[in-house]
Amino acid sequence: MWILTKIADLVQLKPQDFNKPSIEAIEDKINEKYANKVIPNIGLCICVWDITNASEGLIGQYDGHVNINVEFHMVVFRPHKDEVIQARIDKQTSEGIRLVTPFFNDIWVPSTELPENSEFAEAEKLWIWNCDDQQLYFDTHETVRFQVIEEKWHTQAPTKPNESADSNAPTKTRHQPPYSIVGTMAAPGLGCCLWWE
Amino acid sequence: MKILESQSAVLTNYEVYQHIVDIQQRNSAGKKKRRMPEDAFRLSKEVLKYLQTEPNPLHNQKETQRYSENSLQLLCEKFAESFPDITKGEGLAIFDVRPTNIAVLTTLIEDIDTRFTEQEQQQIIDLIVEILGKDEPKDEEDEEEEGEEGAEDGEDGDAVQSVEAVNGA
Repeated sequence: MWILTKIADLVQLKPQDFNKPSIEAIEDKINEKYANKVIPNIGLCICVWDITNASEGLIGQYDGHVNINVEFHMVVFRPHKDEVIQARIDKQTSEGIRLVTPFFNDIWVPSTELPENSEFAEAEKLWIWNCDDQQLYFDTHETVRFQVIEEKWHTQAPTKPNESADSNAPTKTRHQPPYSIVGTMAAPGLGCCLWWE
Repeated sequence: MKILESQSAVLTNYEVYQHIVDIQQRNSAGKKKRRMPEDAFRLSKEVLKYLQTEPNPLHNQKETQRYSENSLQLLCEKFAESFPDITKGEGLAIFDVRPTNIAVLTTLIEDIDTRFTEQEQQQIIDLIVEILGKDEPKDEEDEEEEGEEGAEDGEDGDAVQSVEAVNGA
């Protein structure tokens, strides 16, 4: 579920950071820039793992910033294909189930990837799996296990500025997550964790 | 920014858990309390919360200390000894999920029915429970949504191993 990615970057320390030990100041700068960001085709950055290399600091001519070339490892959330992970049911529609974890919200299980003989109860807005003569419910907020089948990357192109006369009119752009996961629950052992206890 | 290696290693849940716990301990130790920048602070807290949500086997790691570098090594050794057919990736998945019944194990091992007999599957489960422990079934018929981590201790209490500073590398 997690990988380490090695990245090289230029870190600029401002004079007001000079009171911190250098290693902490560098780590803070990197965390500030990368944490909670998605790098396309890499994954969601969590935090610095370690700093493997740092150059001598060079002081800029005009601003007094110290420039350091740093190489470091980043902890990245990137479940691989077929990995089984746990998440919670957030929302259900007739098209499928949206799953969330506390730090990542873009997991989608389409209705075709639910166990066979599943049906959507329109009134309760939840999916029911008719397993033999039992009815098993996908209760919202329930913890489930799912298997990753696909990942989707989306790079948001810049949008045109709003040209209408009313400059306060909200621009309506559908937000597309930069990184989302498609999963399946159509196999024994997957679905609500309680079913398999 | 330049990506030097897009994937230089794969981390287990336990390693990420320990890394974040270490950072939190380091930051709150000493006279001067430190804090990570806002996003990293919040995100690592959320990751920790996720890893401590039942039925994740790390949910009561704080009390039981069942997971360690040693237990991973032991698990790999035992598998290599008794079930050399289990790949490294499958071993790591087992370490992360800790299946305690065959249904869940099926999701982690490809073509399990052709590769292992039912008896062998049960032996794998027994091995996992022996090394990584399992949760005692609760008396209440229903669990709360927000699985309270570390509520029960169960039989795991006798296997306390202290592991410190595992992330020195």
